[in-house]
Amino acid sequence: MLLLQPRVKLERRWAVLIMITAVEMMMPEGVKEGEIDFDDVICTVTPEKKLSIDLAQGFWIILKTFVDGGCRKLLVNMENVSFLDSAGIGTLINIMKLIRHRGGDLALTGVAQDLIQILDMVNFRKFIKVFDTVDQAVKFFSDMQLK
Amino acid sequence: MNFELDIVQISKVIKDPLDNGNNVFVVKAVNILDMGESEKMWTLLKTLAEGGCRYMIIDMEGLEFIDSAGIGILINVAKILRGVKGDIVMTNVSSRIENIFNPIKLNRFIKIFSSIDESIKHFKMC
Repeated sequence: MLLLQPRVKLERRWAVLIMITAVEMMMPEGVKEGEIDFDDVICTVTPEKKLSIDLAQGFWIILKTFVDGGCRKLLVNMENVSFLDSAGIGTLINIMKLIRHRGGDLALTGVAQDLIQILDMVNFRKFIKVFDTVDQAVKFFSDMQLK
Repeated sequence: MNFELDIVQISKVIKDPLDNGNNVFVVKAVNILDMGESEKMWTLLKTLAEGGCRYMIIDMEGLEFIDSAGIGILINVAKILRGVKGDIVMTNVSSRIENIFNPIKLNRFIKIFSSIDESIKHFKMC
């Protein structure tokens, strides 16, 4: 008797690490095709469910690709995140260092109340801006001038 | 407008996690890709390509409408990625959208696969 294995299961082994984020580009003024003026681009990244040690690497790859590609205004929307550990906080701090080195800035928004307690434990809010709403963060970024 | 972005690693043996020859970016296209909306798609794809992404899959499952501006973006990104020895493929293209691609023979320039797993298999052979 021939027993066929479901192929999807075999192929899924390649997918060691899957990370889903919703990316939103906000541009106050239109961008022409060709050269992109990153002064006008606010990139919003929304991670799903949790930022833990198994997903932090994928998150780091996505954000590093954005910063390397020229993005200077990065907003991390944490409204779907209910779990955060040291690897997630480390990723956020590392990406903040990278983006400030290149003259941009990183901000957080929509952080749940129990996550704010964790962030306050490591004095996170003293060096990274955390906004209550997306609108406040967008206003902060549109007032900011790139160096 | 929201885009969905996945990362799939094509090999289990990882020397350097930031080596983008190992990472495939899966971008889910939005439902309308016309002149007004295509600027954001272009910004996203160009930022990814300039940032070192080499392999890209465009998942067109939810796409209902595409015009010449949208097709131009796909062609331009394919040119950038092939310049760094990468590639771009499309999956889940509905028959209505494929009818638009047929007259300009886009499927000869950009490969079309029926599922994400098949396109990952294609990148694994690269």
